[in-house]
Amino acid sequence: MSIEQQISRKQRPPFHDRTKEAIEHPFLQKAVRYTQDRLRGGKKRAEAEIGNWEEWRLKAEAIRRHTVEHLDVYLDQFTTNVENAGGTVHFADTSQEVLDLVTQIVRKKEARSIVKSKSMVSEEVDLNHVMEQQGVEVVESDLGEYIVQLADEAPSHIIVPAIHKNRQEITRLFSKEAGKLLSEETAELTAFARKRMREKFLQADIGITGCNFGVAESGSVVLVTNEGNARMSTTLPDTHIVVMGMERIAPRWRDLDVLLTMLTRSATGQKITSYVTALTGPRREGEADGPKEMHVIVVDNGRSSMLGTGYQDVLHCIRCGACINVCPVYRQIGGHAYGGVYPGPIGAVLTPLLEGFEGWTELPYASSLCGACTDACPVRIPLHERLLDLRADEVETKQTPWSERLAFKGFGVLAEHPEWFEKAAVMGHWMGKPLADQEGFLQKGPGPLKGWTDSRDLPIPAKTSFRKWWRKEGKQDG
Amino acid sequence: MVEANRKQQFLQRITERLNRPRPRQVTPPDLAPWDNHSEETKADRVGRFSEEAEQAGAEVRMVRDEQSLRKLIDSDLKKDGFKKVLTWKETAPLLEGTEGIQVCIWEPDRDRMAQLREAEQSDVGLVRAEWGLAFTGTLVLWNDEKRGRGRAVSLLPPVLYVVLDADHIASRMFPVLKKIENKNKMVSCLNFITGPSRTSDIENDLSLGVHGPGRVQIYVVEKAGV
Repeated sequence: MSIEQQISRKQRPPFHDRTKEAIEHPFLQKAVRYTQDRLRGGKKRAEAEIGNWEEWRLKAEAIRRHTVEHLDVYLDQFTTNVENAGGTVHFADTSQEVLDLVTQIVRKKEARSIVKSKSMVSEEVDLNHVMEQQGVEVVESDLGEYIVQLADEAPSHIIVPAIHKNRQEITRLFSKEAGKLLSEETAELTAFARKRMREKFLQADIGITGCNFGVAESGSVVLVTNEGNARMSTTLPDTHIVVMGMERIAPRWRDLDVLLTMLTRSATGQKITSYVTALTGPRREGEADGPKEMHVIVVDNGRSSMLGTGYQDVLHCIRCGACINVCPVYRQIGGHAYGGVYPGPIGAVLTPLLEGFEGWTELPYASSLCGACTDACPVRIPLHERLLDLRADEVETKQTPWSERLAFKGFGVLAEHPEWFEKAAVMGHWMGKPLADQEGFLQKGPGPLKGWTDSRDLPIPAKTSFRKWWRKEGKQDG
Repeated sequence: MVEANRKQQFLQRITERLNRPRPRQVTPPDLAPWDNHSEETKADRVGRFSEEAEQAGAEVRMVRDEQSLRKLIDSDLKKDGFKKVLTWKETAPLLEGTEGIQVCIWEPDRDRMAQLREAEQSDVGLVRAEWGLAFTGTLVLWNDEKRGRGRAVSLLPPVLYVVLDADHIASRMFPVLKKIENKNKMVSCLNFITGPSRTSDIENDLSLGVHGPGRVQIYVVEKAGV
């Protein structure tokens, strides 16, 4: 069983093995670099084109901060307006409740097949496998997600889910599906996916989507895609289920304009994606397409535990992936090594917060604290500071992976000298920046970074495989 | 209707976590980072729209009036070798007089599946955009139920023809959205379309038309008829 399959089955191998496999995967190494450079370059051009990018960031941050600070008010308004437009609203505290709610709807509709458009929350709850166990066919309609699904793997990037798959692997998967040998041409592979997916869309009983933004003032669910698969999922099937994180709210349409601008420019460098679709309730009298029923499931699943804490701003995230595209650690280990649904810096912060430290103790260390993620974030979440906070909290709750089996010296020192934490962060950020600015990555070491890496290695216990590897690989790279 | 208790319970937890009583009303911060874009003429907007739409992969044709529009659509259909065209009721008159081409009109009252199959088999969809957005080259489609505009018409055929009135090009999303804010009720489906359907999911290699139309042709009409 490949590492990816193990991850998809929720039997994660240890972090060490995950990173090792990634580093020894030559195609993954090449593909991740190429993809990061492409998306990051696009974002840089989009920033320059808009001119006052920093001003936009400040406004986007202010909107997100205000929204999360008043989430109870806006969720009330949003869900009331969804109902006024004829939709049905459900609330789910846990992933099990999401699964129960979807199962209820599936049973009531006697549904046999579901088409899905990319939804990170449904990945959180492992919806596909649970539906399949109940004999319901689930087809991922985003091309990248479809590839990953055929391979029975998990996405490795939130915008480009299948970057770890090469053309030959994709051709094999599609040829198996097609029952005949397809060529390796992108056009032919895409044409096959289009044709196959059309049949699935026309037959599907239910379309499931995520929600990029829920506009409170009108109760509209806004979906952002380049392929148009979210339009397909909300035009053809008779029932539409929206699975959305409870923080995915924009107060007004005018706020949406700011957030959309930031989302697409930060994700791919596009001024806007090919499709932005706003759905307000199900189809109405006089319409022949669109769903007859619309269900909106508002999901907590660990999110409310961040409210009122120092981690509240993590809920400001708009899921653009910009932090992933600048991260030197992601560049080396790809998405699967993170083990959770969300890779990269946002994943390293979010996963332990959503699921607790247990099983995720290494993630806050999957970072060089260079601060590139913080600089890239369109809503100005200080991600590398949150990683530090998590490390400190982890020590405090004794939930470190090394607490029993390893020397705890480094942490002891740190725990006694919290100012070292501060220093490590500030230094890392300050020193990393001038180098990171040229290419966005710390490829220049050891040189002036030597002192920095040395001092930062101090708090890290001897046997952290990731650290060892990073030191070795980082030098090779430079 | 969601069980009132369930909703209140869910919201109450958020209120408690936020550690303050629930405010009755709040006002979002007033922000307009696009203010520097507000001063433009119609000609500026039309020019910018065409440029941006083409950059996004659409083809833009300028036409003087609805009469020349009809002629151009007719000749384009023939040039493209299309046999079957699907359109909304309100845009159907633009196809009057086209010969040798089957015109299917989206009808809200006809059988849903039959129409979707028909849409799937059409060579091209023809619709009218309510608005254009200059700064992104975006088309704004309203699926107004009163006019029976089908969502599938702009989605299922492999090619999309869109008519856009030059007077209906705004700078960006905000001024159009402002008009929506003034409406009591949103339409059930509002689409912002910018260029063709695209994906780079296979080795970062761009490919068009994976789900939606792979070609988008926009007709900007300088003097729109009735």
